[in-house]
Amino acid sequence: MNPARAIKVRFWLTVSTVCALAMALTGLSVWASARPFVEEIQERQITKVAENTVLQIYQSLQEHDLLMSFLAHQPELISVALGYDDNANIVRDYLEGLSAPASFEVVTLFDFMGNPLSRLDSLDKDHFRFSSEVEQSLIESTQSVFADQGSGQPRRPIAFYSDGDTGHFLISEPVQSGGAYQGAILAQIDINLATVLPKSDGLFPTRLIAPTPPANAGEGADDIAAGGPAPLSSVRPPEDVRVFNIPNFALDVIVTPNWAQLRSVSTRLVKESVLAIGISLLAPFLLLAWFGNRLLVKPHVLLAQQQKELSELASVARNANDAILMTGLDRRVMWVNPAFETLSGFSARSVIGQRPSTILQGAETDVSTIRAISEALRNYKPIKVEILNYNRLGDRYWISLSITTLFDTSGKPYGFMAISSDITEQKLQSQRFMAAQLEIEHQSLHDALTGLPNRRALRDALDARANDPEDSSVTLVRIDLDHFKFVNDTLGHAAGDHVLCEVARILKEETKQGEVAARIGGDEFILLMSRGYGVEAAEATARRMLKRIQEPMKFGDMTARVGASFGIATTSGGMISAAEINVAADEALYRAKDSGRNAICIYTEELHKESLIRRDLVSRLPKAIRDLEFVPHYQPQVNARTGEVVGVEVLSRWQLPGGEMLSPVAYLSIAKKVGLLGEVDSALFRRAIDELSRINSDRIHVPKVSFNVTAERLQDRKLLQYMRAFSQTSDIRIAFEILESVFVEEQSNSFMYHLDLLREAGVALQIDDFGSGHASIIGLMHARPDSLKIDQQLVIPVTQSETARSLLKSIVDIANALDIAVIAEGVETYDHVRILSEIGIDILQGYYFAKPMKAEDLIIYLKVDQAKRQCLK
Amino acid sequence: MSILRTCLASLTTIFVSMHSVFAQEAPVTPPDTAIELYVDADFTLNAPSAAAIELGIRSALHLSGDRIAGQPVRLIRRDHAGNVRRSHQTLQEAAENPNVLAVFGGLHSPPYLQHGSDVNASGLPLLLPWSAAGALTRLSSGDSNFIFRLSVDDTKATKFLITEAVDEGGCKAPALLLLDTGWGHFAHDKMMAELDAKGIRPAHIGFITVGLGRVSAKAIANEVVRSKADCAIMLANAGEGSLITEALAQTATGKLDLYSHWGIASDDFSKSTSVAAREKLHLRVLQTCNVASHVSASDRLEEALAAARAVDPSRDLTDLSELPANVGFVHAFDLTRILIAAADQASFDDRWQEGIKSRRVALKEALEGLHAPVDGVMDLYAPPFAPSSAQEPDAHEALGTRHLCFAQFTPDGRLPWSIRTDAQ
Repeated sequence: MNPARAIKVRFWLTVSTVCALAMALTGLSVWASARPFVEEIQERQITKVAENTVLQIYQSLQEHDLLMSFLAHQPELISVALGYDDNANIVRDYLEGLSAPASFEVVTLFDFMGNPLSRLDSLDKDHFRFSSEVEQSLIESTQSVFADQGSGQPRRPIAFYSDGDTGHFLISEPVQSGGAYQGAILAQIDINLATVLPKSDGLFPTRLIAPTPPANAGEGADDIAAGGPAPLSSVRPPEDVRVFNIPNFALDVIVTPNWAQLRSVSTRLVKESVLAIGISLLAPFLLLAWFGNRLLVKPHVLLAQQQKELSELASVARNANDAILMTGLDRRVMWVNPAFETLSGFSARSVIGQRPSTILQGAETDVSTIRAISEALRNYKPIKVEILNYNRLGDRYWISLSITTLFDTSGKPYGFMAISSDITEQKLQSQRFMAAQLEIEHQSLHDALTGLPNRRALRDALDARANDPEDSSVTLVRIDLDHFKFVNDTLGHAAGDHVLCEVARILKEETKQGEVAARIGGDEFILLMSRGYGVEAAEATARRMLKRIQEPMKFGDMTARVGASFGIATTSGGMISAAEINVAADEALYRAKDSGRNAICIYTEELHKESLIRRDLVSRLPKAIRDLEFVPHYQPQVNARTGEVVGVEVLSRWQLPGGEMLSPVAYLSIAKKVGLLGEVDSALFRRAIDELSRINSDRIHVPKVSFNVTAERLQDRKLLQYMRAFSQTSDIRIAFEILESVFVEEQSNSFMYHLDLLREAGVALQIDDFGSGHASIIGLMHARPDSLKIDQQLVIPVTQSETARSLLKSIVDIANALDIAVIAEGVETYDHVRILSEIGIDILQGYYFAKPMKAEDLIIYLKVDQAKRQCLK
Repeated sequence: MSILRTCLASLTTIFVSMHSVFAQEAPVTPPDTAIELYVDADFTLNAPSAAAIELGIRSALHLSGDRIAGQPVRLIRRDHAGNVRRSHQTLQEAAENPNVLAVFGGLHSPPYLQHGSDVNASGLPLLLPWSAAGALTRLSSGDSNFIFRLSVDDTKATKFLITEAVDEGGCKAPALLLLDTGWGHFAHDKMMAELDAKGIRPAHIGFITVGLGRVSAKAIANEVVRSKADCAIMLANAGEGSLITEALAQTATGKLDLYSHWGIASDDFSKSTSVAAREKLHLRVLQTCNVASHVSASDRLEEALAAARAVDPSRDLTDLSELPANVGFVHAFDLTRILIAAADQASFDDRWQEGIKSRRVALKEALEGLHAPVDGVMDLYAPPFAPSSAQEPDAHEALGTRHLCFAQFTPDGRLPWSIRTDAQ
């Protein structure tokens, strides 16, 4: 059971038990106390009833007794009693003279022996009167009582008898002389008992009896009323009756309570009292329970939970791995946990009463941190810091320290609690991590080889510059080394790297504060000019750099020479934006390259316009590819000897939506630059095949169709599959023209492998622009082409240059030796035809025969040619 | 034999029958049975007087070895507490008691005045050592007078009082203060007669109620003073007398001599009355006195005192005046000695053995005719009594006027016994 529930259960059990106990005890107490109380009340009631009766009777008797006493002291009566006088009427004489009350029924003077001396009897004959025996008995009692006067104040003997409502009392008065008993006066008094006895309600029946007089103590049970018709006094009062003496008279009031009825009443009263008290107790207990639950249980439950939490916290604190330290408001240590001792090396005993700052902090502890802690403690604010501490041996360690103020339940602060954990290792790791981060950051932003900022760093710098609110103009110099590949190829990569490092050093040295020189590619660099420096400064810097770059660079025993092209662009003037500046500088760089290298080109407005056009074309390219805007133009190839059309070269023309037809020079380089050349070629290929298939169906046969293809396209497996299928279904011989430069640049096994696959698929391979590059003819032969097309730059001069003719002759000879057909393009005149035929060129192509033409024109051309031939036949 | 037996039986029957016929009076007390004497006195209200009487009787009996006529004697005390009826009852009881030989009376006279006739009728000798009522010994005469007195009767006492007050004291206007009883009234008559004979009218006559209180006493005293009496003659018991004496002393402004009957001496009067009051009133108390001619009186007195010391060692009497109510002692002592003498004499009479009544008669007759004088403290009685008759009214009076005298209380309260030298 959880403590809260246990408390509640205990509370309710306690309240219920106490309530039940209280009710039970109250009931018992009431029962125990009320019964005597009720009995006491009953006794009081009995007493009251009896005392009232006693008083009534006493007053009645006393009234008569006084008269009796008066009589007894009259000398004349005394003389008669003494025997000095024999006046038998003395009583009557006296009473008549005294006008005695009517209740004095019979008054008799007796001598000392009980002999009647004088009697007044006013009763009727039939009226009750006491017998002489009763009189004698009473006289004896009177005499006896008189004799015992010295022993106290004895009760006067009296005889009593009741018949109905009338009580007959016989009272006596001794007659004395000189203190000696000389006789007695007896008087019978009749009293209406209804006036003196309480009305009977059944609870307290009351009656009178005259107890045994002392004079007859020897006889015991003798009764002065024994002579009466009903010897009442023979009734011994039992224990359950109450006897009340009538003062001065030996007469008792006997109350015989109806105990059964009284007990019933008292029991009912007590039961009702117990029930009422029980019910009235219930309300306070319910109130107590409610208040107790609110004021005791809930706080107690809360306290228990808090205690549990505190206990757990204390346990946690003791067993915590974190060091815990508690101080008073004076910041002196009151308590530490074992973890603190382990961490600090100080025992709890040694630090109690010390200030933590004194024992734990040292020379290298950060003062600002200490100040921050003090400030927080002064303001009772929580604080979390990392701070350097010193253990007992003086060794440093880092801790993560949390200090909170301890408040009592009234919200008053009474101390502080510091929780610290050893973060020395984390700190070291963090430092290492930070260093690594810095390194990574550095690496990410710098070129590993040269140490220059890399492309990313440059971009960041560009962004920062572009967002500079004061001056957002940016001037950029794009640098590309010339002939660097040659250095790599000839002197090795190490030399190349050395060159790059040297160039980087030059860039660093030539840049000023605020300028950024970055390496963004293999031999590409960019210089971001500092703020305020424009194109002129950039050009000056570029010239200084170019000069130094062009200087020979020593690498071991070797000397490397490279050049550099510079493209400069600036956003100043608003021609281009910062986002465009890199492209603009690149444009300028290409222009510098195109202008013969080791040049510096500035991105001018003219260049900007060209660029815009090119960009326009680039943006149109995808749509043009999709819409097959590239229109095949076919230029026939003629057998030099027979003049027969042996094939056509498919050339690309871009027919713009407005009808304008662009030459390949205008867009192929752009398509190549944006990576869409393959797409353009593919679109052109599909359209040409379609058109040629339609031409062949018209019974015009085109034996061979040549397409210019890029190296990438040659390795396209879809193209390969297509060609395999096409060769199975078409009689058109497909030839792929591959630029000589491709063979120079792509000599990988994969490339060769794909060439073989295409050859197997029936595709003829042809080297295009042969003689334009630096390819060795031996190397070309490895590709085993079906034919080679001599670059028109070699063909055109043949009409005027023997060297050219010799060169062509040599090429033809080698080709013939290798069984490779030779094609000459750029055949514009008849001389060209004649000379080239003489040299042994197999196939001729050029304006002399036909310009590139559309399919419909080709059909006409072929039909005319076919007609001419048939005519010739 | 059978005839003889029959005759014997018949004789026995006759004897028994005769015995029954003649045995009317109670049988005589066997010799080894004590003769009983009653003393019927007021041991309650006048205890000193009763005690003095009893002591006198016992002292006299002691001297005779507590035997009378050879038989042991037992004195039975009966306290009538001043109640005539109780005394009467005692006398009746005594008369019916076969062991009782005689009864001694006490100080008071009323019981015997009231029932003296019954006493005489019962034939029980009644010996009065102190009762003063004059009529007591004269209620009857002859054989029926069984009452004997050894005291001075009031006829003589009152006369003596008047004579002493008037003749010797020079009182001209006496106030008579008398107990309101038969005794007082009897004295009243006698005194009035004496005064009348002397030609004097009492200044005041006051009757003292028995058991009166201080207020009543004061009222009586006021009356006396207002009457301008120059002396007062008082007949009262000790209690009433003391109150009257004090009241008179407080009230009297001039000379007022007080002459009192010995009734006041019956109790501790001196203790309840201040010396100043006694002296202011020159209180003189009538009492009987020894007569000077009785030469052996002092010896007899010493003998009586010695017997009293033997009977009641606690008293240790050395002088008669030490004994309260010593008159009673002396009178009772002398009367008892007379009784002893008479019984001794009667025991020789045949009637002594016949029955108690006969014995009592024999005693009476012996009292009336003692052969030898009896030597008492008061006098030598030779004889004390004689058969009574109308002609001899004092036949049953052992004392006479010559035995009267006045005595005065000493400051310490004693009433010294005196011897009258002029009495003859």
